[in-house]
Amino acid sequence: MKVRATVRALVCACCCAVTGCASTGNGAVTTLTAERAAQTIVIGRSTKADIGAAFGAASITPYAGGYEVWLYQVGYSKTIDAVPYVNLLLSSADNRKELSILFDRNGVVRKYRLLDRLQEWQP
Amino acid sequence: MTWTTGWRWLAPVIGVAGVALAGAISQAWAQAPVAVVDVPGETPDREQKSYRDMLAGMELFEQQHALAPAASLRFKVLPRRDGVSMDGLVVQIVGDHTRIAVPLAADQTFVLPVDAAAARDNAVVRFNRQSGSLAWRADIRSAGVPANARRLGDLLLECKVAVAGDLLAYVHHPINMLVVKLPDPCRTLPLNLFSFADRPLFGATLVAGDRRSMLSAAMLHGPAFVPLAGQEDWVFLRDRAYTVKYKALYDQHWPDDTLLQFDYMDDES
Repeated sequence: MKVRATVRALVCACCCAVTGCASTGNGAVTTLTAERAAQTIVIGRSTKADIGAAFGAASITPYAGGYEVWLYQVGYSKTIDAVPYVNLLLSSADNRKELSILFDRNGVVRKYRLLDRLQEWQP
Repeated sequence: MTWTTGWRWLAPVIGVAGVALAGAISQAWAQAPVAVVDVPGETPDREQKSYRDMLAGMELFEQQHALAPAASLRFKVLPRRDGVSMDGLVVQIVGDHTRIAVPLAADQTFVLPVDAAAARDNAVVRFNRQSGSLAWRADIRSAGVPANARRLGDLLLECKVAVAGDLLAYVHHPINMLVVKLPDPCRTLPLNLFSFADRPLFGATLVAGDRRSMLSAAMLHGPAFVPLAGQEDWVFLRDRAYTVKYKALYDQHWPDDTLLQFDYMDDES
């Protein structure tokens, strides 16, 4: 029974490495609240180094104009959204929490968004 | 899709299988012989769509106008790759016995006239650009919607018209080709069909009265990597691209009048 569980864990770990079902960052986003985010992320002042120190390594995408978006996702990473057929079943859109941070060309936070599905009003 | 706890570990396994399957299909597709057919009078390297297909999109718009009762239908083109000039664009309906000039607005939108003779002539709607230069979309905008927002019913109808009118460029593997032939894929499947905001997007939020919900990062800028990017029409404009999962939203009872409010990268916080 133990062997079976271990094999299952190993298979999942390997697959996660390929398909991107691991969370990004150091785990701090998992328990991040809006209040805590406002204290940690200072628009116009926080730098990439500050954010990296607070939340760990992000998934980074550069855009025109020198903008860069750092994304921290709890659950699946965006990689899984690129896997044909699988993305019909699984999506990082189902994640309950994620933090997106926009840096300007000077590497300073321009704005950020904390998505927390548990805090959203549902009918 | 719901997974029981006992079987959820299988998801990544399916993921790996999906990667392998997609790779195999892509490889087989790339190696498959391509039939080249010369048709007299055709200009195969021009950017064009079937006029009949676009009429089918217009017909669907009329049938489902209730989704966007205060809107009319226009079509829109956007650059699909770097270096495509949008100055001097000319669009015509062209066939063996057809040549109809179509007025193009400054925002690269146009209204397609209905012409039975052109449909019988199997005409095409053609731009004076090389094939693969432009992304085509339906453009359906209800009056009164703020400039930084789009209305959900408008977007759903755009999706339906785009599919019915065969406007989209996508990887033509068997599953995709099957999906677009299904009766109403925009409303019934979690399609990755990309729309474009006016400027680079940082975020978007659904708003209906007091109800608000952020679009997750998965809905913005496309997936992390695009295996056959040249066959897709949104990649060049990916900083403005977003997708909406209509089935999920309508299942959660978001109304047609829901607004998708954009937060642009260059907006002030």
